[in-house]
Amino acid sequence: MISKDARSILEYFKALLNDLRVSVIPPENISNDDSFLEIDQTIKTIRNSATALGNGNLSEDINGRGYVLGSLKNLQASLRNLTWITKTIASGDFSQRVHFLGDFSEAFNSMTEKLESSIHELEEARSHFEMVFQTIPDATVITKVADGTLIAYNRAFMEATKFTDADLTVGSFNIRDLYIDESQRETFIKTLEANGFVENLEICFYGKNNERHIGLVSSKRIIIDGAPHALSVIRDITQLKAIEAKLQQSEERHRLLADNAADVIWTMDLTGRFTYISPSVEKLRGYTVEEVMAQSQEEVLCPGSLVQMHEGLARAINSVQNGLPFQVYRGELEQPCKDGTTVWTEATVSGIYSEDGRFVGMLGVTRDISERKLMEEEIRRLSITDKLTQSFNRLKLDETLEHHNKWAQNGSAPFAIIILDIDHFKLVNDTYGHQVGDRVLIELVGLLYETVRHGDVVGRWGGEEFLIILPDTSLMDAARLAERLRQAVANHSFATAGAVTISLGVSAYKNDTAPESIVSRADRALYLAKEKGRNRVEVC
Amino acid sequence: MAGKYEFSWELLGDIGVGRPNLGNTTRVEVYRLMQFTFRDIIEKHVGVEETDQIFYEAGQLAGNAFYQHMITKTDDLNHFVSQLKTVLKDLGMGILRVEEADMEKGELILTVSEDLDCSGLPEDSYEICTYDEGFISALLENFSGKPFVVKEIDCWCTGDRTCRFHAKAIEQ
Repeated sequence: MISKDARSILEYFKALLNDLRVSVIPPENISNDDSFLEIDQTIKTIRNSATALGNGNLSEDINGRGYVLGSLKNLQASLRNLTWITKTIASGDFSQRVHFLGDFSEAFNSMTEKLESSIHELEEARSHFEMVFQTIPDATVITKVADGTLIAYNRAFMEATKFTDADLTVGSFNIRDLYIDESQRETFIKTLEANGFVENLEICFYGKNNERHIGLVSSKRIIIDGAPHALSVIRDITQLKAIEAKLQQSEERHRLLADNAADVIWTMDLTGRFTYISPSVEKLRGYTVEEVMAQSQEEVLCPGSLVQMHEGLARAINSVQNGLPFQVYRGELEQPCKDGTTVWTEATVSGIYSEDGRFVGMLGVTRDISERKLMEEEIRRLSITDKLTQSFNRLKLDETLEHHNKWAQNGSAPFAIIILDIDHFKLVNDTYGHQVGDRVLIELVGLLYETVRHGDVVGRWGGEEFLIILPDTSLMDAARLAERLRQAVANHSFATAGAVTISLGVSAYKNDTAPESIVSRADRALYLAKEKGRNRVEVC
Repeated sequence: MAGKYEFSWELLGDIGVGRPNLGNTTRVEVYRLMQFTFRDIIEKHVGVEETDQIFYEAGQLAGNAFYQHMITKTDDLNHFVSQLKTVLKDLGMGILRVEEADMEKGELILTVSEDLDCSGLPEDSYEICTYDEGFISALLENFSGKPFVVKEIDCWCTGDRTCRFHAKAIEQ
């Protein structure tokens, strides 16, 4: 049993130790006792100190002595020391260790070592990033998305823009000022915000001396200190663009040249398909480029020329397959036109090779040679035409005779000839003059052409003598035709000269080895007709 | 007046040679036996205050020599504290803890637990670590270049579980 006072004291200390608010009052008769006051003060100090330490308040003055208060002071000292150590670690000093708190020391030191290791790894990673950042061959920058403030840049950026470190004082330099077109930055930001990255966006920007650059920007949205930033790699394609522009200009010039050239310029692969054809083809053939590109080979070339094309393609394929140089082809081709006519063209085809010597196709130039063809035809015509009468001349007659004689010798159709001469033509010339004589010759040829058949060849044999070659004609038929000719002339009234007659000698092929034979027989017949009084037909 | 005995680090001798069997350790009681018998006799000769002053100055002399031979010179407080903590622990002299350090103000609060001088001593009404006060002041002066006055504010002998020292640079 204990006394009532002792119980009151115990109740008071119990409340002091256990209750949040102490409502118990110590007995009055002991409240001035020194021992009671000392214990009371110690317990109150313990209460306050424990509360302060529990709340993390390490600045509470723990006054008093004794084991428990000493231990609290020791705890406070430990916590203060831990605070100091933590601050030193936070400042980057990882050499501090805790040696006095048992398992906690080991855990804390282990955490510090891990932290140091992590910081070291981070530092290494940062150092590695810095090295990579600086050695990226393309201009690379980190900028704030919000306002374009430059946060970091590499040497390549300085080299590209010519800005110095002094110019690029980080934090005050704004990348936005370099944009030539502000709308490009808006596009950049919009894309970056929408996708989190930007790939190969073409932008134009100024360098230090206001020189213009063109760059391909690839960016990634990154977060630094909670704010969005852009890590951007800028490939300077200014020179590339200049070269591209030059190439484009050059290509445009060539295209302009090709498009406006009178000649048709085209490229073709080895399968015979056009890969390009200049618009001048429409002027040449009436078809548009699109129509020609869709045409088959048969529609592009007339049959005779198509054969040439196939032969040319076969040669080209052979050359390419065997690594032989492409032999330039030049030939005349006939091509169908949209209006149903044909046009003669001269085509020159050569091989196209890439820089590394690889065959890539054929380049052709097709030229309209219609006029040349006409001219050649005219020259040919003139060479075989008698200038005065516009009938064939002696050259054409000789060629034709030779031709028919050979045919006849080969067993083909026989032929006949008529040689005719104007009777007393000298008298016409003498009486009316040579001009009238010439007129008689012209009118006579007209009469001959009116009477002979299509395919018969009428020519001036010499002076007032004419020769008519009659293919596939017998001697009798030739004689009948000769008679009709004689009558036609005899019945015709020539201008000024009036009536004029002709004598005719007829002969037909008789296994003659040379055309002179048949001519000789016709000559003899003509001579005979002259002998017999003129204006008559004789056969030999 | 020239003394008979002038301390130098060399006077600690070659312990490895001198104590081939017992080695470089002894018991803490031996250290305390020597210190407190010294203190007793000296107090009888010159009084308490003078004795405290003698122990403070002896601690400073020891601190100077200790800094010169055991601490690598550094301007970094953290490095200095780190070295000191390690060497005090390795030599079994105590566990140093920094509670507060403001070198701009020249103020520090340090504690040394399990120290050589007083840990485990019977409780009394006075702080006893005057030797440590001098020792710490010399260390801080050597580190900072400024003289420090160090006062023990809590001591095992006053019922605390650790010795707490307040150090303050003396404005010159």
